Amino acid sequence: MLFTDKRLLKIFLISSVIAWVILLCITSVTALSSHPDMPIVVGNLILHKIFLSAFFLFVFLYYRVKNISEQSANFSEIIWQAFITGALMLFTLLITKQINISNADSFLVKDHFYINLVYDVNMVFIVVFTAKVFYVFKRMILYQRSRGLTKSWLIYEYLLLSCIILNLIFKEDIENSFVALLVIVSISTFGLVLSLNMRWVAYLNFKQKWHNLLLIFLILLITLTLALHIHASRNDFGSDIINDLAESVFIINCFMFICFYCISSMLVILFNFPTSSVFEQKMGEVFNFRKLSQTIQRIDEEDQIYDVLLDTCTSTSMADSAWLEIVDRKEEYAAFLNRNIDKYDVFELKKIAKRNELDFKSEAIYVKNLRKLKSADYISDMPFYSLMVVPLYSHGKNIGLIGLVKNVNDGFNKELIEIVKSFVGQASISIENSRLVADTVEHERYKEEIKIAKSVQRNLLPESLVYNSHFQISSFTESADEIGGDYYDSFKLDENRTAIVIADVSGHGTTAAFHMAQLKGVLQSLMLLDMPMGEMLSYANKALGYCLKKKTFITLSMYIIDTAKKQFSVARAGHCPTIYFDSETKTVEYLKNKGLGLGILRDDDFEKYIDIYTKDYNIGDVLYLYTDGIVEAKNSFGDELGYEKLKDIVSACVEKDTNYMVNRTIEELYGFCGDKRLDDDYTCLAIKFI
Amino acid sequence: MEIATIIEEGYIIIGVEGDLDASSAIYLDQEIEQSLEIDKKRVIVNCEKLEYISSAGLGVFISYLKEFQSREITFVIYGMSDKVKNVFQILGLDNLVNIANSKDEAINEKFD
Repeated sequence: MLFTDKRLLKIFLISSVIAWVILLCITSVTALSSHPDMPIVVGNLILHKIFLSAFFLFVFLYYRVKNISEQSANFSEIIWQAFITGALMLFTLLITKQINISNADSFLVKDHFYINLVYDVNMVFIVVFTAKVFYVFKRMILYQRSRGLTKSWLIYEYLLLSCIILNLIFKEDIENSFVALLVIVSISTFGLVLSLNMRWVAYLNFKQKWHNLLLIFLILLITLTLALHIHASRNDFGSDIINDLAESVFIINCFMFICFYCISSMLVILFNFPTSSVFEQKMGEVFNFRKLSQTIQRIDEEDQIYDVLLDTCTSTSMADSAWLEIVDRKEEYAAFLNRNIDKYDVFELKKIAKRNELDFKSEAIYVKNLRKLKSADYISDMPFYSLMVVPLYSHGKNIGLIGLVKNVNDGFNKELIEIVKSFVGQASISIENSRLVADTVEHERYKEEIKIAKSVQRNLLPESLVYNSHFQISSFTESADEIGGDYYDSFKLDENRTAIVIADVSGHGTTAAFHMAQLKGVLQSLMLLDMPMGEMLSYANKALGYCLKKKTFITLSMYIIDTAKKQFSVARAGHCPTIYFDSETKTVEYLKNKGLGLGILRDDDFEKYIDIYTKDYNIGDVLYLYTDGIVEAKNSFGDELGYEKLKDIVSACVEKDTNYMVNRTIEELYGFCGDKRLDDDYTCLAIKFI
Repeated sequence: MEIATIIEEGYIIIGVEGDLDASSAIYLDQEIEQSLEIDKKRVIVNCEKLEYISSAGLGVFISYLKEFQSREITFVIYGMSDKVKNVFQILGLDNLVNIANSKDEAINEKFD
């Protein structure tokens, strides 16, 4: 920007100084060149007028820009500034006057040069003060402006500034000029009308009103003193003064405006004194409301919100007694706070309300005089007269109520109910929020616990399976829930024998994971005893029978691979049959030996239902173990993968290594399911003899 | 899933329709619990319209096996599809639960 406010200010300041200095110079020349005893012949003084006008214009423009750039909206402050300017100006003026008086006998007093010099210096003070006050008043008039007001003010301001040019046209003795008089009267009337805009007064409190009234009165005094000075100078020296301010239509108008505005604002302030208490009360309510909402936002404890709400409502409504009751989501009492009223009294009030069919919980109720109600004798020994009850609502559900009591008849009013309602509304939101926060915290805690359970469960699965140079082994597991119920493990029984287990606990989630941990414990202990497989499973069944929930069972396949004998044994405790690839005959089949899930029969009969199947294996044979999550996986049409398809998938890759087999089958599984999310745990484990 | 119980002279038939999974297993549980209170000597489950049974559904049957035994109630399931039957067989339940091929058989057959 070429003309920023700062730059403009500088330009106007320098210009006004230059204009004044030039004016002073040419005035001095004129004064010195005139005959000392004769009046100055006012002939062609147009040059003086031009520079005088320029001086006025620049000073006013300076304050105009300054006024816009200042943002403070505190009226007391800007009026104080105007007053200080005025006081300073007046003070300097009085000093120069004092000097004049003390030198009354001196020839200087009669000297044209001296007179004009003093007058022109004083002129600076007067013009600066006028400009300052004029623009301060402008700000006050335009406070909370409408478009119309802004427009008319601009017209007035431009008209007034154009009077500066009028100065050039008018000759002396404006008292006798009809046109000048007309201009003064019309513009002043305009100014008078504008000076009736006093919105700012309404925003002052009692103290500020007094303060401003005094300041404006002082400003008026200063203005009048200055006007008197101009008038006196004119009387004393007459036409000896070259740049007479009294001849300026502009300055006269300015003085008129300032006087009008001072008088009218003083009157308005005086008339507004009685309303200041109302204003202060309203401001107090707004302040309370702001305080309430700010405090409430900062606290997250519900109890503190109750305290703040009750205190704010009590102080705002100036109630003598108050109580607040809050119910939780199950409509049980969460809090009862009381001030100056005991529980028993509240109980009595509620009894009266019930008798009179007043429902405290549905809407705000205001009882002007409790004693006029039915059964009022319940409270005959209590000081209560008027009662206001406002219910607290959150999401359309009642969460409590606040009761305010006054010991006078008709102690509250409608506005007060609205105010209390707004407080209550604000507090209700906060109460709801804090409850939501509490819920979230609890939810987070559960999530965290589940996370821990998941990691515990993951740790139950082996990090790596038993390694043996006679077979390859690979596995994959994933669960639909956070926590799965699939389990697999391997145990080294001795140099040549390895036990491999795959199991599926019925159900999902935390319970399944706990049962899985129990299973692992049982198996680990039994493996140490190295007993025949049938016996081992029988013990496992018994042990688990004690700890499994009634409806829970475990399916399990257990293999013992003996690499010395090139033989494996399998017991199938109700688990999905293993896919077996015979590399000699190149056939793939399911190993469907007899079996029963663990935990189904919790007595000694279990072993009867188990068949142990033992087989010699060849190099290249494959055992593919899996859980039912794989065969029961569904695609988007609701079709299950099924045993046949799984067999086909496995058959296609039995020649590859186990790692490939596992990855391939899982890929195929995902391909089959498509976009449909798997809703079970699924695990697979491949063993290949090498 | 839908469940309908028919009480007849000497037996109760619980008809199970649709998918028997974790959420619907609770209703089957309640139904069997109630049938125990009626105290008939034969409880029959009609699986003709049962499409799928999850481990939770199996768990319900399993949990009553002992109860039936001690009360000397004959528990019979009939009308299972091949798929459902396969699930029972793999788990080994076919050896513990009486499985009939038809309603008639379920009502009249003597089981050990």
